[in-house]
Amino acid sequence: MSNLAPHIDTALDVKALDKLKTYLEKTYKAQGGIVTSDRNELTLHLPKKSLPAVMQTLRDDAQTRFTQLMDLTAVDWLGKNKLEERFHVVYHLLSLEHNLRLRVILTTGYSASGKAQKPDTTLADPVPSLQSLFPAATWYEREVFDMFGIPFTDAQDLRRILTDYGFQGHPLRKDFPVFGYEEVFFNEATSQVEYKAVDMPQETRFFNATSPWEGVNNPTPLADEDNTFPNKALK
Amino acid sequence: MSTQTHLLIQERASAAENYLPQNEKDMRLNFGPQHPSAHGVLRLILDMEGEVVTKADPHIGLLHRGTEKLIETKTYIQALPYFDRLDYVSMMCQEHVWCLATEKLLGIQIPRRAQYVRVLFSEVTRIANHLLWLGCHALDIGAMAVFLYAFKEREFTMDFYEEVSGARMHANYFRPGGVNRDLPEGLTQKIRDWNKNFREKVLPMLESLLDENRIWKQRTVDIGKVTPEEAQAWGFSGAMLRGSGIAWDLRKSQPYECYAELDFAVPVGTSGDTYDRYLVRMEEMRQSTFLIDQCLDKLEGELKGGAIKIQNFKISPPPREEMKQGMEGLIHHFKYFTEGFHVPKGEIYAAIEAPKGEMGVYLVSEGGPKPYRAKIRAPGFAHLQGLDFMSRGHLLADVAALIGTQDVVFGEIDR
Repeated sequence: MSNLAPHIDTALDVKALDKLKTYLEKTYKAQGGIVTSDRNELTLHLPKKSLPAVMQTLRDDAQTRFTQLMDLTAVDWLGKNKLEERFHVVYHLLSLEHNLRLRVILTTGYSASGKAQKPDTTLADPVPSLQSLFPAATWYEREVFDMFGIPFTDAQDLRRILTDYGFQGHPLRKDFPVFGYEEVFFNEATSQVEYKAVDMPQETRFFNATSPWEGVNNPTPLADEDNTFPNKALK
Repeated sequence: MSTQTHLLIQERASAAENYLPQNEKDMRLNFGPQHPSAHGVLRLILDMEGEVVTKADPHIGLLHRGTEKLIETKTYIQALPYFDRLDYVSMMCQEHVWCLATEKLLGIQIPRRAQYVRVLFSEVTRIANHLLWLGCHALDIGAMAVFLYAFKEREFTMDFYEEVSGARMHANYFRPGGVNRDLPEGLTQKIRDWNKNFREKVLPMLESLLDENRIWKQRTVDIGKVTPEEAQAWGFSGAMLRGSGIAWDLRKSQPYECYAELDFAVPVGTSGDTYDRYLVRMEEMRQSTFLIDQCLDKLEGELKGGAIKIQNFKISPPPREEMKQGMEGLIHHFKYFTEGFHVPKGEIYAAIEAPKGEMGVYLVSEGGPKPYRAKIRAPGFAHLQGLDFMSRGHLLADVAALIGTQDVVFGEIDR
């Protein structure tokens, strides 16, 4: 807890957070929940199958009352995790009553690896949908499906949401290039907006200026004073 | 015509083709994306029974620019200008959330003066945003004059932006570690004068145009009612939550920067209709003027002449003189603008009370100078999702009022 930046969460109730942590550890151990805390934020790691039941108790339990699903997203850990655990699906819950936040993470991936194709349209293993518990999940799940190709079981509505009608692939996956595979243009001859394959006259160059210097790993509390050059006073 | 294009047109048309009217009054209406009260690029598919809406299906994504994907390829400071372009009517608030997220991961503290400058401009931005919202909302409903008065006043806030950052809209002024540069001389007095005039003359004048206006009340009272339970279930935040009677403001409940030291009130509605949300936002503007005054007092008083960014030149650029004259300053300057700064491993969620609601960033870092993943939690995304349940049973003309009351901006919804 030492690396807390005091101008962020200035009135954070660390005691309540610790209390919640022990409570969650005790309550959800049976369902396979693991609680971690980092930078004054709690994360509950859950196996996929226990998600709906745990989310329901998190919402209805008087101790937690996480009534709001603020955010739902995914992270692609391609090359860092095994393919079976390629994606993290991340839920951010907010309790208005207790003024606390909780992050819930579960993993999904492929049970059978598909043939690599471009763009990769293989869907990951489905994740239980929360649309019946939190109506707010509907669009967020559509977005995760659109961007990562993670389907949700029992989802009422699972259309693409942000990409174009008829789009192929899942753009926020790490193996999807930034420039995409197709571009739109206005065809003068047919007076239509049409698609064509992206034509790159030159291979994309990624300028990598990274040095071995690792940057700031400790908090620097002396915000008002020059603390870059420790020997300055000697000069 | 290529098969691709053919497919595209087919999908676009399918929204209409799959539709089977039950009786002769039923119809499916395509509202937008070029409709003036669609606030940009909203395409709404409305199922109507005569003039009554039975279902609304918003199609979004027409302004999707792949911000989150682009941020993954940029350093932390290069990602900052994208945030101006998310909610392009409350620019500095969006920058703020990115700065807070980065600072939380870095574990740094910023100077007190920088905190007050940030809050000062967050509140100026809140007024700018609410003025645009008020003008457009009233215009959608048919009150032309409000739009003109509100936009005239909004110009002044743009001028403050310009004076402090050089840009009238996309300021790129807040930086991880503080703000880009100090306030120019005389700006505090200008803001003070404008603020006083705004609170004492302009705001009462704007309120007198609408508060007791018969037409305005007929168009907003009992329109788009949201119960507290619905507001929570649909992930609403900001004025959409407060209008329904829930006293929740991140500046009070989870204060960041110096909000805990400042004195302001949180207005709360009672009935959760469009008129209540109008009243809440008007009062928010008044509270913002109080906050601006308090910030100005501090900035002109005890914090005068303090540092405006962290004095660790691995995280913020060194002063120009040091860069020109000192070797170390030059190296820091070069490394800061080419490589950026390294951010420790970890994942955090930072949120602020943006003018539209809770704006959050979920930031994952794997170490190194570029973020691994950044998810932007836009308040408008959750609000627009609720348009379906809010508009059911209302008339077509009320849909324009509902889009106005949600204060949607497509920069942040489509990202």
